[in-house]
Amino acid sequence: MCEVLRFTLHISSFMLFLAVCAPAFAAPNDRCLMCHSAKGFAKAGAGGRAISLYVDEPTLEASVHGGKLCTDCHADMAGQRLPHKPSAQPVQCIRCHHVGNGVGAPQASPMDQYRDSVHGKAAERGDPDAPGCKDCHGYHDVRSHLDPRSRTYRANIPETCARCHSDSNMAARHGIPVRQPLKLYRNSVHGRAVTDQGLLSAAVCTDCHGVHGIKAATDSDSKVNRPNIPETCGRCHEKGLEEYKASIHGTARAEGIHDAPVCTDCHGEHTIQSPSSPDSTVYPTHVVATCSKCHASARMAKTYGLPADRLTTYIGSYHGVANKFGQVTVANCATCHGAHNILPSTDARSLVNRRNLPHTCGKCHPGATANFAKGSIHLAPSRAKDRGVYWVRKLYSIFVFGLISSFAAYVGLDLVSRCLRRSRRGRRE
Amino acid sequence: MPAAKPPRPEGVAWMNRKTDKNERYFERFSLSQRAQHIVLMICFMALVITGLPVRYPNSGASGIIVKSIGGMAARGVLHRIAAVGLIGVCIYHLFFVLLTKRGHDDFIALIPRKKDATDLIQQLKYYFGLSPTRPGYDRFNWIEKFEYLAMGWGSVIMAVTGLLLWFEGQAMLVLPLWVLDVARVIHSYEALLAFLAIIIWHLYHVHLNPEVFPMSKTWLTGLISEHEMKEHHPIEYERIMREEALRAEIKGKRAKDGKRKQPREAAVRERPEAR
Repeated sequence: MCEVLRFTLHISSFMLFLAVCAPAFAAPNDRCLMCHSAKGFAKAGAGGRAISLYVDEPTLEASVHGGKLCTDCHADMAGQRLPHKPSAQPVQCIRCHHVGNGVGAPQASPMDQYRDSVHGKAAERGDPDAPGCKDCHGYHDVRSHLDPRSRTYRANIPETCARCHSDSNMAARHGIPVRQPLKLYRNSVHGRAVTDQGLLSAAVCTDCHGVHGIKAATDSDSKVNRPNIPETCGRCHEKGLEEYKASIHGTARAEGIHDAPVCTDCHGEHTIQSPSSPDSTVYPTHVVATCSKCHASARMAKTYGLPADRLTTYIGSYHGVANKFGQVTVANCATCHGAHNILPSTDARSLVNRRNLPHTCGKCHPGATANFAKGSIHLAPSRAKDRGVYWVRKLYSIFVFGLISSFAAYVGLDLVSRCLRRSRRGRRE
Repeated sequence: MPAAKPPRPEGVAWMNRKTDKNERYFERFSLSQRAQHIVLMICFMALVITGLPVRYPNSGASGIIVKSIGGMAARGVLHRIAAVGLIGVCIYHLFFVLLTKRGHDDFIALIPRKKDATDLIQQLKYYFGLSPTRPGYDRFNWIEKFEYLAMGWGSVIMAVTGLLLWFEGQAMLVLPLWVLDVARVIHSYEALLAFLAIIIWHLYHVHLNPEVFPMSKTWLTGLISEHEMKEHHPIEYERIMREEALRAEIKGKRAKDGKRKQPREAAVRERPEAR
């Protein structure tokens, strides 16, 4: 009897245990999904627009949050009777994603960065367009950034950012200077490396602009603020950065000269191309125009004491003429002066230092001797400089002008005399 | 005075079709000279077309020219081919002058003399109405002499400076950079001079001049009419006439003397002499 009673107690306590624990073990989100798994489940939003309340369970389960309870994120719904209150509080990711969280959620320093970012500040102002976590990371479909299906997977980042940044209404509303950045980027060397070659190491938006701490280019802390650009590009282009820092442009930047060119001034930004691409701003046929933006500018020449005639003297040379007509093998600015390592000719390390000229010229003119340094490359003939060319040109001009005018005068005389004779003959007859 | 139907110079019959059959013609340029002129003309034109864009890179025409001949590299190659042609014809001409009687005689006739200066003065006097007559010219007038010498001298300048620029690496083993810059200036201005001289001076005298318009055919036929001879080269014409008369006299004398026949030799002698 006693044994029977004990057995019954065991059974019933087990049943009770089951009854209490079953919802937690078996299908914890079932109660929510009773309604939210219906595809047409929606509520009326502003202006009568239907806002879907549908949750695709397999997507949720496949996400990084698979296995979590709905109420882990939608905390205000916990313990509510069904049907619950119609309006839910926005999900606060920081509930878990904070420093020292106990559930193993990725650490939350991004949240601090976000707060200071251009997006975070807009959200703080209550801007309805301001992106929050889920705009980039997704809603129920949040996946690891290492998952190729994730919105934050490197190859997918451009599309994710473009959801807002290629929206021209959005760009206009917020004064975003670059319109259609995705289109420009897709055609750039970085964009093509990602899409065409699947090179995940190629730069995507976040590599240059930052991730959670993204700031406007005008912000001096921004990774794309002018003085910060070389370091930003230099994270991948290390050698370029090193050479640039030692160059006249790099030292000028270090001195705080705002006009000093940074990477993007010569290479472009979203449209950046490989120097070997004919579309590149530093392709042999375009590099002259690129350097001339500053080196043919009267303001620059005046402000920084640069020689103002570099462009005119170059295009007057055979190199300049051939370059103008599209010959790519002929010397352009960068061929002689270098690209990242440009230094004034007075610097002994400069490629165009008198002592280094034979070597520099020798790149194209094999066996170049010191004779290549005896004269000017940028010919600017005057009584003081390049006198040989000056006088020969002057005398030849006079000679050609004199001779050709005499020819023309003689031909004119001959014609007039013929006409006169003809009319005289006509009168006689 | 010549017979009514004089024999024509041989070897150019296919070109004579358009000439007046009742007119007597004199050979002014031999076949070799005409060939030299044509080669020179083609090379010169090619050099101008491939060279001027470098002097005037900002002209729209330059862009079109460079593009249509296949770019700057092709332009350089064509320019050098034409240059080799021009230098070649100059060297050929040098041997032509040294080794052939024709070339030698014409070269001597092209050397400027004191008469050329007085001819020029008289020509100007005539234009200004200070003299009633034009100067009587010999085989080459001062204009033709000037053109020939300018052509020769210009070719030497262009060839020397051009070769310096072509073989700039070798040249600069000896010469400093500035000498090559001077060479380029000379090449450029001499080219302009040659181009303008041809356009204004040469084309006027052989094309646009109302007397020959649209073109004097002498450069193709090598012939000049008796009328033109009398008009433009009276001294040469008279000399030929004197020589012909003398020859006729000798022939008549021989016939009278003993009828020693040497038909081949006689035929050669009787051909109307080119000069």
